[in-house]
Amino acid sequence: MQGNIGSQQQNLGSQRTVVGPNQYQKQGLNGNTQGHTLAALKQQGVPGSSAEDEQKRRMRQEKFAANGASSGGGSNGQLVGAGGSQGGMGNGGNSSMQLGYQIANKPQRQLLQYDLDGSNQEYAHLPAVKGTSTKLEKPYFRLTQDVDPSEVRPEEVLHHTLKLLKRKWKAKEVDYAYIDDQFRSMRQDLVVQRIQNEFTVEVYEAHARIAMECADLDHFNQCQTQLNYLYKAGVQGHKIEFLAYKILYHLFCDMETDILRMLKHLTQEEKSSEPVKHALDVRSALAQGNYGRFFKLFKTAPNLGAHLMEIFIDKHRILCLIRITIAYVATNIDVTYLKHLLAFEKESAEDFLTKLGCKIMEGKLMCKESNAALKRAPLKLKQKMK
Amino acid sequence: MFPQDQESQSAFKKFLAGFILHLQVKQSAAKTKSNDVFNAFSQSFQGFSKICESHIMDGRWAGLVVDLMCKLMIHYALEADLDSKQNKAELDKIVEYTSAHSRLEKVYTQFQTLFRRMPQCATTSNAPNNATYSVFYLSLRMIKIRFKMNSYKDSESCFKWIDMQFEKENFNKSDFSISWRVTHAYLQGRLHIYKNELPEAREKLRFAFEHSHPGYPNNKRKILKFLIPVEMNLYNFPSEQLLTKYSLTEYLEISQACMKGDMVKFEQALSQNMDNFVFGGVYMIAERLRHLTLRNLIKKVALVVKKEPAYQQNGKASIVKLDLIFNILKEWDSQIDLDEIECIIANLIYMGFIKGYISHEQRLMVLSNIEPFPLRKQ
Repeated sequence: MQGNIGSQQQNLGSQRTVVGPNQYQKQGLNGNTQGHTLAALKQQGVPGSSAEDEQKRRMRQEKFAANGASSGGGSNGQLVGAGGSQGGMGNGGNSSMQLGYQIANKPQRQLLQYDLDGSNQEYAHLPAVKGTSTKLEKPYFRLTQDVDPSEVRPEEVLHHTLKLLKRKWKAKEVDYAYIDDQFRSMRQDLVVQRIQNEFTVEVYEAHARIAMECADLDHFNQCQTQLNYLYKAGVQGHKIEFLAYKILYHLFCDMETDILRMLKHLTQEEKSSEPVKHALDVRSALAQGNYGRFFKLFKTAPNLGAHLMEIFIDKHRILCLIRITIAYVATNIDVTYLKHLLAFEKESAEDFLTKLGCKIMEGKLMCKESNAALKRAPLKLKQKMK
Repeated sequence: MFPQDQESQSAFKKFLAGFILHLQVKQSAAKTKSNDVFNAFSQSFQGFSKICESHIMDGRWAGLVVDLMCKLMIHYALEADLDSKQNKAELDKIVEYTSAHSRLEKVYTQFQTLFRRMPQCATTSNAPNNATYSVFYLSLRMIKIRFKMNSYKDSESCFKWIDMQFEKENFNKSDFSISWRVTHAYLQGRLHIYKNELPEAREKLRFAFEHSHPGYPNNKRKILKFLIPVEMNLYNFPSEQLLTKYSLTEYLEISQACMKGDMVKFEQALSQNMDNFVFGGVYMIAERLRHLTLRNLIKKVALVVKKEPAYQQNGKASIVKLDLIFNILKEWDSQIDLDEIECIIANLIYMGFIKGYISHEQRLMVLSNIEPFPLRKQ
């Protein structure tokens, strides 16, 4: 069925047994497209192709033909409608992804197509939009004018989108730019529909984690602040994990006063949980100037804390090296020790040092000479992955 | 005389209504909810702003009136904010004030509009405390709001404005009342603390302390609360008498621990009083004393080494084996090891508390012959 998308679009009218538009109208009146389950819809049998339905289908056909929706691009993340027992239902051609994300054909999930014509216009004037789009994937566009419900995906569709994106990210099929874009549009859809529940939290958490892995501090921070509001409002999620990330983030962005204020409000349970304890230990290690401890904690960071710390780790390595070159000035110091101290695991300590302009002789870092170079070294953060 | 136009009349009425409520509350004749009081007084303040433009506000007392209105405004805002924090149920009913400092924010914006308006008012009286001077009172109040909201950075623009006015020599410092200057110095000192500029902070806070009115010991206490940690960081420790006189005993333990170099006691004192310190906004400076405590500890060890040849290496008095410090520090932090000790000492050397160097292979520290533990001249 999926291969025939192109042809199917033209043959819309013929042997389709669609869940009649009447059903959709009913949903429209209830204003609750989430009320029904997809399974239930799938089970709805043939309502018969009344003349009315035929006409509506033809109108739709023309409308989409007029829009020039191309059905060309392969089944990239389309929702191909194929009801449980009927084939050829709601083709995905109309809502195909024309956006050039050509990914190898994978069997797509089969869902019903929601009625995409004006039956939901009644909601356009309401503040919270009810989305009707069924595109699993959608790029991010800044909203400049009124929201078009047919562009917004309802929550159920977004559930599937999330699963799809997670799978793609794990399989490393896509790069960060794409995932970032997708997540932003998902978040936008959620905001526009005023959905603020566990699912929203899930989306934000997923985006935050991926942003951390790819060193995207901006988006991480955005997600993180939104998550705070949601947690405060009582929505469940991985509160403790993200509390630890928040502490680390504030620490590295020089917002120590904020951390202290946060400390005032922490409960005993939170304070004794492992991720939060780790984050607070990192804070005290830095406050004491105990770099050895700091790098040890970097190695043992729970959850994704290591990714977050990794963004700032080079900066701290340089700061630590400045102190070392001053303290060990008379005796110089072994590079192997530095490798151990500064938690160089896969990278080479020698490369790092020589890139900064330090002198290494006989496996030892020459402190006096390297000091000047280190002081001049730029304290860069790890750049966002492309 | 008082302008008779509709607008000014209604403004005056608003002002009166709110102010009368305030007087009633003061005499506890009216038991109204703090939110209502705040709203009423807010209206009154708006009315008052309008009146300020008229020429009845001319005279040597104008500045003080503005100051009083601002003070009351802030007071009611704080009360209302505090109330809503404690009564979360009520908070849900009042939709407009959602954040912890939302009322203060509103007050701040009101002050800002007044701030812009006042300089345009024509005044005939030239002396201090007239309408133009009221702007200075306003600016101090605005800085106070910012401090209460913990946003020190935003207050900098107000400070800069004040400094600019003095530089232009439009105003003479001696024209201002001592109380204004003391408050100004106190706030400047706190800003310096926030920016980690301790010597400047000490200067300002000392000025404020010396000139604050002896009849108001509470003010002195407030200033001391910030002055003491600053002084401690600059090697000036308070006597027990001073601390008990102004009931600032939370600094007693920490200053004793620091002077002795007792790390265990220091951590204890710091964590016990942590809430106090964080609430007072001095935790960061108090934490810095840790470096000083470590320095004192190591200095003591070094002195012992100097005296006891048994501990010396090759008979050299300036070499301290790290083992000697290891056991002591292990009491303080059970997970510490020699590498970490070296890191900590390296940090102290970098910060200027110790002069010397470390040998990693031989696990020892060599101190400089001249003044190995300098008192930094910051």
